Amino acid sequence: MKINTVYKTLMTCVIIILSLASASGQGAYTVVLNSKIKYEVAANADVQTYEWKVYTNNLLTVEATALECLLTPVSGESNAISVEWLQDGEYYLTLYAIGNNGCTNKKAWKYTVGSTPTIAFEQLASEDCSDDDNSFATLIVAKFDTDTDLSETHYPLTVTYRITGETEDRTATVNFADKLFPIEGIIEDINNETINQIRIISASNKYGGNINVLTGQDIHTRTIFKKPVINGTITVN
Amino acid sequence: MKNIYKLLIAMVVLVSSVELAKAQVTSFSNPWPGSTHTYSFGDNGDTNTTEWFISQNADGSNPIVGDVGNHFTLVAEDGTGSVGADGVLSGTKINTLRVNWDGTAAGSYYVFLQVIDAGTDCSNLKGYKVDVVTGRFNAIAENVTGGTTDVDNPQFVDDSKIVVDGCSDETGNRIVNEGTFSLGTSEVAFRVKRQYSLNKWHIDYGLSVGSTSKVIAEDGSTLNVATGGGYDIPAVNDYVIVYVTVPNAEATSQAVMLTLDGTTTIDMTTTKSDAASLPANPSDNVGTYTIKSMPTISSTMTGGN
Repeated sequence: MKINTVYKTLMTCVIIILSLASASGQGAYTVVLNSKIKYEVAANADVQTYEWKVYTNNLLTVEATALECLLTPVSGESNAISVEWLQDGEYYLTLYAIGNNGCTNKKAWKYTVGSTPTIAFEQLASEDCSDDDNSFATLIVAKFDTDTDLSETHYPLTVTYRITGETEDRTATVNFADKLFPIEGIIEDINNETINQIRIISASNKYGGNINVLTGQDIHTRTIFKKPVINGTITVN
Repeated sequence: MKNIYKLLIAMVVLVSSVELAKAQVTSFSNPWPGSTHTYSFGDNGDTNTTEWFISQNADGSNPIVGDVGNHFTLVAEDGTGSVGADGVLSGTKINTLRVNWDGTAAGSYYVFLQVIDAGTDCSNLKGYKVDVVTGRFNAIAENVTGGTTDVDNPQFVDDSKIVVDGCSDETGNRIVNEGTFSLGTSEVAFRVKRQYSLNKWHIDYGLSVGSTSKVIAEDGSTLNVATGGGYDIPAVNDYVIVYVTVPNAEATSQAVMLTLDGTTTIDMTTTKSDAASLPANPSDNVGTYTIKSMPTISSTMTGGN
């Protein structure tokens, strides 16, 4: 079988790119707009009450409005909160912990909410020999913005795609570790070269946030070569 | 001149006032070193000569030239006049004497007034015994956290608002992933005050936790660290406020203690130390404030980071 160029690429793709956010704990964490995320800190028996707030300034004085985010308590888990991020911007998720002795601690985490994330095929074309396997995988590139890869926390991604000629969309899952987009339904014909066009319809991150499909890099062409014809009959001595 | 040396230890007509209202414990009969008091036997007439002097002898002999011996200084009530070489402050209508016990006076003294009648030249002499507080110096450390509420006047303390413990101050950069995270610090305040002296004084102390941010004297001035450590405090100040900055910590209470060094905390004029005072008062050399425990919040936020 012809070596799939996708896997050649995979062999060289051993360097795991860590997002700025998750690598060092420094810098704002990224959030894809419309994500709904459950945040949580380790529970502490010394805490009597937890109070969650979202501020829009680093002095932690201006609270975000309901148009910017929605906070929903998590039943039975006061050390957790569900936040639905509704508007682009910089926010500070802030937790107050009031101890049994009445003393309060406070910590905040910065989040950048963006509608900028994109997804695209890394390569727009690939080929293979006809081998009765109608599936393959190819790499995708997902970025939070032009300078930042989408961090691990957003994975797995859910990608909806359609193969030209089909009438229904298909859905695939892309993991952070390999970023391989598994595609099924490729048409193979051992007698004829076939060209399959796979188009990404839509994508979302782990929390339901929308990831924009990058125009011009949303279609991957998969060429399946026919098998060579062997003429004549075998001669057996 | 007719000399009538009738020594009277007058206890009835003597009128004195404590000039420094703050020195409520020092008194004209038992002045603290460094204090100022006035002494008067009343009106001695408009034309009679008044002669004030101080002797260590009950019969008034051998007046002391106070400022020469660095015991005290004598002036009239209005601050005018000075003693002659004989140690006598002389003039007319000096009905009230001001004594600055600002030197190294120690033990018993007799404040004498001799009045010489302008018409007859007859004289009268009266004296009053004064026991200068001797061999004593005490510095007291006490917590005043909560009472220093006037940010523009950090030397003021509202004693009604002092608390013995409290939660840590909400300071520092509490944002985990922006800038340098810090739990911040809490401010604790101690008052160190003196007893038995109104001289210039010096304090040394240690802290159980934290560091000194500033030392403010009663008059509002900020004191700098003296050569060799500690703080020299001008005589006018009965107390200083020591502000201490304590790093906040999670899951632990912090007993913040200021402990005076009894040996090096001294009256800088008499050199009497807190520890050498008779009697010594070591039990009041420690001020304590407790910062209550702040509950831990994990810096690791799970979900979406």
